[in-house]
Amino acid sequence: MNTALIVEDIPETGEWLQALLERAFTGVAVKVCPTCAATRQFVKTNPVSVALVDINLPDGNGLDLIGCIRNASPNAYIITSTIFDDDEHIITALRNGAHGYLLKDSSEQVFIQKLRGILTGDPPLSPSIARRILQCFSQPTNKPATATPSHAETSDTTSLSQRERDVLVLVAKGLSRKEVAELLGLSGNTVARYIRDVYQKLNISSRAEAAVEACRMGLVSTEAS
Amino acid sequence: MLETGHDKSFIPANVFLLAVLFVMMIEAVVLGIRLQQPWVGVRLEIQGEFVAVTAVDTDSPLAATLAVGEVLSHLEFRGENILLSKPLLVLPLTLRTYADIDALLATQGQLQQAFLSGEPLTLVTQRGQRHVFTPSPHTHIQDLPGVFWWMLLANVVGLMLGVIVWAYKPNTLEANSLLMASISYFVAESVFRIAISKEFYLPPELTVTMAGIEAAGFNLFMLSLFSILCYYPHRVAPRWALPFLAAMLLLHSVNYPMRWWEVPIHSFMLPIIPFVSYATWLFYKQWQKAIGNPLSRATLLTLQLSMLLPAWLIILLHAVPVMLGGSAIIGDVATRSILVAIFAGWAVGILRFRLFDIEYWWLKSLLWIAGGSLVVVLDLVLVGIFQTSATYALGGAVLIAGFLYFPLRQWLLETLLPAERQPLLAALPAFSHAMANATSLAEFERRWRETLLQRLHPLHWEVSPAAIPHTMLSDNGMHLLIPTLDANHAYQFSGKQRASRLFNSADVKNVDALLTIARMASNASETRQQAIAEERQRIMRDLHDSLGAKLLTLTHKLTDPDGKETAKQALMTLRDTIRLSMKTSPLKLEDHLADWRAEIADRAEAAGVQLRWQQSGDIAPHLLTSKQVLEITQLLREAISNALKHAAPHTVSLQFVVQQGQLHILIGNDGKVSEPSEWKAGTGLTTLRSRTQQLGGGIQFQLRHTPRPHNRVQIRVPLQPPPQCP
Repeated sequence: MNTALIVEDIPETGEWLQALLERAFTGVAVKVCPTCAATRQFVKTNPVSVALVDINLPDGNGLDLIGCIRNASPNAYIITSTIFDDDEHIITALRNGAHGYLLKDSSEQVFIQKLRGILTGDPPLSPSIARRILQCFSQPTNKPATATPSHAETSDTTSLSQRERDVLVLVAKGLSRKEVAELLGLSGNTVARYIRDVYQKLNISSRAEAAVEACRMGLVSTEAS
Repeated sequence: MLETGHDKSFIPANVFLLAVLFVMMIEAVVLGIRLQQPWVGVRLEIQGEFVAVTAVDTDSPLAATLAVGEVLSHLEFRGENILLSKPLLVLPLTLRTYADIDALLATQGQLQQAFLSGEPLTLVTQRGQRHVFTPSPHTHIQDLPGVFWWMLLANVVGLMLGVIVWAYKPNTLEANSLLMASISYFVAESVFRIAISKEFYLPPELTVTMAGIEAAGFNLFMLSLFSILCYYPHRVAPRWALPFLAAMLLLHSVNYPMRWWEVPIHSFMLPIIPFVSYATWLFYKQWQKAIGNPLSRATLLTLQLSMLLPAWLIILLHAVPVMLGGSAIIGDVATRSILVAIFAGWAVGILRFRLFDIEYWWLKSLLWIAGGSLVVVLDLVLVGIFQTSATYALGGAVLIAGFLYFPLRQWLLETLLPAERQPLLAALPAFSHAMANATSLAEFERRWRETLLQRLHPLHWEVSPAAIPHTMLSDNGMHLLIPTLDANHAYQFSGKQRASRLFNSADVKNVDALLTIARMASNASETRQQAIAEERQRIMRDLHDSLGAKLLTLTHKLTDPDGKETAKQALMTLRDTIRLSMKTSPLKLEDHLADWRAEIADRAEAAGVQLRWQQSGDIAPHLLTSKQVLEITQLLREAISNALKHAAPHTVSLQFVVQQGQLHILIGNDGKVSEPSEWKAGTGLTTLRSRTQQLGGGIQFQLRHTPRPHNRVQIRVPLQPPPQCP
């Protein structure tokens, strides 16, 4: 953990987050960017290992920054920090490649705990988000790649496995990570891994969709590949 | 003959070619016979019991002397007087008895002798004027009267209608019959054209042959029409009926020229009346069969009425007066022209061409006939009863008819079209009202369907998956296809007014007009709903951006833990409010139980407290209102906060039970338990009470001792009945 990026336009909140990170991860260099433009500028030249990105920014939507940060620092943990935990925004964040989301009004203790969870591969997942993800994957339009046999291998990465589905269903019912693990006879780590995989599939499927869309619109030549 | 062809090579072009050849062949014979007759250049017409001159050709040998309007008396030839009177111009088929025919033939024999003698003849008028002339031995084609050519046109039209129907439906019973009818009629009428265009006489042998051919042709024509009446669209006559009719008509055709037995009153016409009566009976039987089948009914209306109406018209206005010894009210040419109209009606009926418009045609024609008859009847009444002069009577009749016509028309409309008494304009206010009240798209669709069902009363309706751009008729008006409001599907209505009528073009126009209005109303409402949703989103975003950010800053800035907690609670409530306001899908109790469970589990874990969670009862079908979600969320939050704050419990238990339409929530905690009566004010009990009251439920606080001492909050919230599953 060398450099942490905080994208936040409210100074008090920015300071609070900065203090929190510095306390939690000793020796980390924290950069606070208040706008999208400043963030784009910063990530161009500075690799980051973790980024907390607010959604509502004065010059744009923080969700659009996720892809940009990912491209600049592929190994960075990108976390959407918000006070607005509606499903729509969080699903978009996950599809754009975020590793998780944090509520900015959580207590310091909870915030740090969840942040550590994301960094150690145990991201948060609320029942309503789990329900939305199940919905996303059950809609045939979200699996465009399965239509052609040549994309068979991508279909594995864009549809849920039975185990992943089981985990999501139980989480959607409000069961805790521990309860899910017990019910399915899995370890807590395995359950966490499934959730991570699901997040990744959301991102892959959204990119696959974008690619299919691009092919459809003639932006990408299918002949060449 | 054309109808012998059962071969597939009878393509329409060949059939038409054959028909043209047939016409040319017959016409060559007809012209050959007609042009051989001597020519004088005088047109005669019956006037009372005599014959009068109606036209004199400029090239006529009598052009200089004979005036139009002169009534003729006799022809002098070799000192003999040949009487020129009415029977000379009456057609043989119209003459009542064989004696009348023989008298005619005798006169014709005399005339033939005179005209072929080559000697000058003397024509004497009633006024005693004498006109001497020599007839030319042949007729030139340009000297043939207009009626000769007009009847050719009418005959060819009739024949071609039969041929067209046959070409499109070859070798079906009805098309074969119609073709047979049109051919026999064409032959009979070709003979008639020779007779009607004659000047003074035709050779007696020719007259006899022609009468025989015309009678046989007319009888064959009738038989052909009978075969349609018996079998189309339904078989209504017993098996022996058609052979029997054929035998009777054959007998009549043979008996008439052979004179085996003389029929009283009228040797040719009387035998025909029972046939027309039987045809009427068959029509009635067909009508009964067609009840509940509007398509057959329209076919029938066209087929049968187009035959029976002219037939009875001719019998009443032509045959009956002739049989009673008077003059026909409508003449020979008019009766033949009316008969040609039959073919048009039958072609429409057999080809089932635009049957859905038939009702409308019939209504229009009936109104037209009714208006015309009214003038005629009034004219006759004025002349007959009040002895008014003909000119004044006609003027008066037109005036009176003008006053009576519109009430009569209204009455006819109401009698014939009772179901459509409510015009589109009258239906509009109720329709607009129904549409304006709808709020959701589904509701708009439902009301659109209801309106259509009420207006058209179809026997059956279903949704067809295919989208159509506008309302359409199908299967000749049996079905009406109407687009749904969302234009994704179509309604198929079958059998208008419980299958008593056919859908017609007026329905298409009206439904399309209603559709336009319904779509406008629906779109306007949709735009309004969208605007509301957008406005709500904008307000919520603003709330989030301004109030949310401020509250967040407060939670970070405030040092006092109570204040911090309050700001946090406020932010959470704001978040819940915003989230619920943006939701468009129904709020399921089941989903919210999961949300509450996750939130409470988080809090319990953070506080190091064990959570016991139970839910039972029929939870799945129940929905919550957003107010219920918000209030219950708050209730749970506060109750858990109280327990965690005041009791330092080891275990918190939550139990949700749905029973008899009520949600029971039991929140229990162990730890530092106490009597609720000892609880201090300010522990939020008042807020909990007021929140449950807001939901129309109740709340109780208890201290229980079994199995272990624990405090319990018992909340009861009434739920709305679950929606019926579709």
